[in-house]
Amino acid sequence: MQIDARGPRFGAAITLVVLLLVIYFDSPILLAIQTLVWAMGAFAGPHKSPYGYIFKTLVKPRLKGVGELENVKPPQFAQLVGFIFGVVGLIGVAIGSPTVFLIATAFALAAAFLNAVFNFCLGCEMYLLLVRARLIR
Amino acid sequence: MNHWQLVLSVLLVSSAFGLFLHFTRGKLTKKYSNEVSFDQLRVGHELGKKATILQFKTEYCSICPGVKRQINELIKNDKDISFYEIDAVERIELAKKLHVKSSPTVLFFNESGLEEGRIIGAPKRDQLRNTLEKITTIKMEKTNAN
Repeated sequence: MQIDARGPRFGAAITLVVLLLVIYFDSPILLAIQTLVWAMGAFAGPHKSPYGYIFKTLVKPRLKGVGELENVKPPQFAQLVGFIFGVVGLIGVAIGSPTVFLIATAFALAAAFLNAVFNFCLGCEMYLLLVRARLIR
Repeated sequence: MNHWQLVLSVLLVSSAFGLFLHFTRGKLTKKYSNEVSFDQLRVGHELGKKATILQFKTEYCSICPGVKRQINELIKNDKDISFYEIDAVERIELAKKLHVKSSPTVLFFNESGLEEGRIIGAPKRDQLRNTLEKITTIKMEKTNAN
């Protein structure tokens, strides 16, 4: 399945803002909400997550030109990576370790920043490396 | 380290990495090696009379179709330049032989079948044109196509 390649980048920009708020307010609840969004992106596809829906209904109709299409698998895998960071961060909260919470959030923040600002999807690159290594298809 | 020092550190490191990618990708780099000629590679396509361009793509590369369009647009009036697109996953052995590690990677071969250089990532239009002009000594037509 192919999706508009601009959608995941838009999602990364929202994620970046949300993660900055997570750190600013030291808010596990916000991280839990973001983790839920990642879960939807990872298991249903990034185009079916709330950010994908916002992109499709509010942003895409206002963009000029036609965006390149990309296979849904790499960005979906990237959402899975985000989901794992989110879960690790929440486990950190559950076991009373703010360091784990902060470090997991910081890793996710770095990935979202690279995607939103430089159009470099770290999770997608990881997916491609795994495909090349024939560890996944 | 407080929260904001952590955020600042993360953003600084990410920015440095992002800027590195920005300034290195899409530019002509030197050939990896010229130990193997185009014919020896068994690409499955014929060498162009003046130059040959190989673009390695993957099914998951979103910018590859745009790069292909850009190259096709640039060489549309020149039958002496051959352009082939190769799936790096389907031709994994060829990709390994040529040390192709990401897509798109665009390789330029001269008329003798030796690699002149490669561009990793989306090429800048001028870079693409200049490279082909250098290899073929043909003045390429200027185009606004992306």
